[in-house]
Amino acid sequence: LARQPSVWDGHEKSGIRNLDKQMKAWLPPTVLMATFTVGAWAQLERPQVAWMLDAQGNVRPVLGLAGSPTLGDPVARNILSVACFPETCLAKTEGAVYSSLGWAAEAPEGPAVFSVGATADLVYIYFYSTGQVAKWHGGQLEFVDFTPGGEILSLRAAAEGFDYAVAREGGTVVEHFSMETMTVTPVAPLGGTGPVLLLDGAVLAATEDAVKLIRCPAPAEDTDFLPAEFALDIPGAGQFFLAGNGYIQVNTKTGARLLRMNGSCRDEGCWPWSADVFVLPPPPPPGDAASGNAGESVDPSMSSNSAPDASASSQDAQQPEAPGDEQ
Amino acid sequence: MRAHALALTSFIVLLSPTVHAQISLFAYTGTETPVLSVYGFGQVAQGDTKDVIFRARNTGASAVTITKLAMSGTGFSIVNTASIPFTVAPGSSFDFTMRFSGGELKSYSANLQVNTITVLLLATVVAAPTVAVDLPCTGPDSQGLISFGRISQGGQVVCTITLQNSNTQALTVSPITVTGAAFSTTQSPAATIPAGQSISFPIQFTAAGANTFTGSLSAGVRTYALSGTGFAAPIPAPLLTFDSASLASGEQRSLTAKLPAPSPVNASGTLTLTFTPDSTTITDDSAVQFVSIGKRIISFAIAQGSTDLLFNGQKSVTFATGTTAGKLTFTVDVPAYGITGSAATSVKIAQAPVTVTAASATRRANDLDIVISAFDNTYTAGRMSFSFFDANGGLIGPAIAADFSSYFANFFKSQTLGSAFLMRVTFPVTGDATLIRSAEVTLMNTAGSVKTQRLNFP
Repeated sequence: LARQPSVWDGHEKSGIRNLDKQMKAWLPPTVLMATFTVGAWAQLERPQVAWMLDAQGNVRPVLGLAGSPTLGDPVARNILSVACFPETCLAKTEGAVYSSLGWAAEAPEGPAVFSVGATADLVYIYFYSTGQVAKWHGGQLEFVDFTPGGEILSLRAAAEGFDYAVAREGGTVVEHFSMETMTVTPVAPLGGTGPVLLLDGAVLAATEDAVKLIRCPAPAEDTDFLPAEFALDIPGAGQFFLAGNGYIQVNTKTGARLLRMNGSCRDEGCWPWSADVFVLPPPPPPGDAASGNAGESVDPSMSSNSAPDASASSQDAQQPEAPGDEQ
Repeated sequence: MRAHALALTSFIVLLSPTVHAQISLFAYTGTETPVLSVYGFGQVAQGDTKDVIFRARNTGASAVTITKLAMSGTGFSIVNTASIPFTVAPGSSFDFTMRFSGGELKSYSANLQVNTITVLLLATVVAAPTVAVDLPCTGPDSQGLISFGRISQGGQVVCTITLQNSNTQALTVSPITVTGAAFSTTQSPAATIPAGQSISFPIQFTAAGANTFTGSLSAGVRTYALSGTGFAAPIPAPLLTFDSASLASGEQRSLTAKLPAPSPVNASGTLTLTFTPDSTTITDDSAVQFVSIGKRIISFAIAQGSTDLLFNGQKSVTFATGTTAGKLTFTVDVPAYGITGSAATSVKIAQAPVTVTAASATRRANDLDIVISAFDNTYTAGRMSFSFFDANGGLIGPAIAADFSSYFANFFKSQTLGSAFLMRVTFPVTGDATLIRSAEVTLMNTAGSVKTQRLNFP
């Protein structure tokens, strides 16, 4: 166990926020009332919408607005899987799990599934290569004595354990594993065989033509305000990632989308969630110094991240650093 | 030696054009072919006529007068000739046309005499199919021309050719061939047509360019000229429609493009997006682009007969409006054909008050933080005011006016990625900051002002 910032470029000190290169302005002290004296600092920076994992295994910031996004330079490379939470991102390289807060631990090879609904300090991780589930806590991996009985598609932190969507013959099912009793409880059958992302009270399930948001467990009553499911016009979805700030990255056959779920609450509950779908631009080709646009240079002073260092520019040939090696 | 000389002389006489005195006789079909003592017209389809121009050339050094031009026999006739006698200057020639018009299916012969030159003419009348064509082709006309008409360059037209055997016996037609690079057929090179029946086959004409193309169709003894013309057909300007009647900054919108009428050809081209910002603070907003490809130019294809422009196979393409007021211009280009009408469509992104996308308030000891994520498509933000409220919602003192214009200007001036900004304002409070429970922020630009919702300090 060690704090390992090696796959993250410049984010170990500030978490997922990067406050470098910002404008600061003083507002002269002002008397609000006799008892208050108020001055002010104003800082300006370029906003970051979310993170994305590009097809080359680079984690990049999505800058600007979701509706007019541009991509920043990679902050982590050789990443197989990623999940971003409010305070941190976790990434899986070929042989390790890294945190953007600087922690790292050796892990089974290959990609992984990170649990949603988690806090930065408690995340469940499923490793495809070994079929194991581990608990990430304080920068350590603690493997759980649990056999899912199929390939896990998604994990969700839940009371006393976690829910998981597992691919079985006959379709995908959702089950709950209690860490206290070490027992499995059925939650809901989902059917289907496509990619799945468990959310809080719902499931995103990809079909060939759309991504469906399905209430899970299913509602007792299906009304206009409380439908059991609704479909989003995202054909060909093949992969989901938590992109941070409430966004979900959906990789499709025609490129990446950014999905923002919006709650709509009434007395009956917060449903249906409306959803905004945004198209993400492709990353600039390797070797293109510009990022986030069509061949135009980015002002580095306002980008979320500084340019990658020279050693990282040949990312395609790089192997992930071994845990314990500082960059 | 003498015997050899005589034999050579005889050989020359036999193979040379028929020569008498200074006259040599040729058949003229664009070039002169020597006419010997026998000339064959070959096979002639029943009912057809065949003309051959004969040329009597004066190869001597003095003038020669044609005093006799005569023909004896059936089926042949002399046409298009000057009156006799006719004097031919040295090096000049005298032309006349021999026409064969056979009737019955048999062989014909006749003697032609030009001054003292005598030539035996031979011809055979054979059965042949009649040829008919379907629209859009026309012909064959009296000259045997089948016309494929005028089509757009790059386009194709297919006509059906019908060979009718009106005879009482089966007719083998060979060859059946098409020449000319612009013309093609799938028909086999020979066919037997039963008595009284017909066969049909297609001939396709492809106009590779804006030219007239010629070829030929041979159907047995008959040959027909094929002709078709390609012309440049500009694509009518497509109509661009958006999934929203008005466009605003910070959006992703879908664009579809349709031709007002089906395309006459298969075509491809590009749609280019250009952006002209209203503000002089910046020169561009790179977020304005076709998002899925991250570029401002995208290719499309139009199928012949379709009205849809397909972008990577899709009927629509998504673009981002960016965060800058200005003008988006979409320009269609079809290089091979050109565009009629206006190829460019412009859309205005209006200037708007600052758009706040997120705002929050936090407390750190006696520091109050307000964080606002927003964009200002006018690039004139900076003036703002902060109002603070107590637990009862009462305003604490007057609103604090602030002018960060110069800082925003400095922030914006080198931007090419748009006007989005995240502003973090920290208020160090002297006194009991816990009495301040909430705040509102008003942000102003040249297009107006906007007030955040009430932000509660936790």
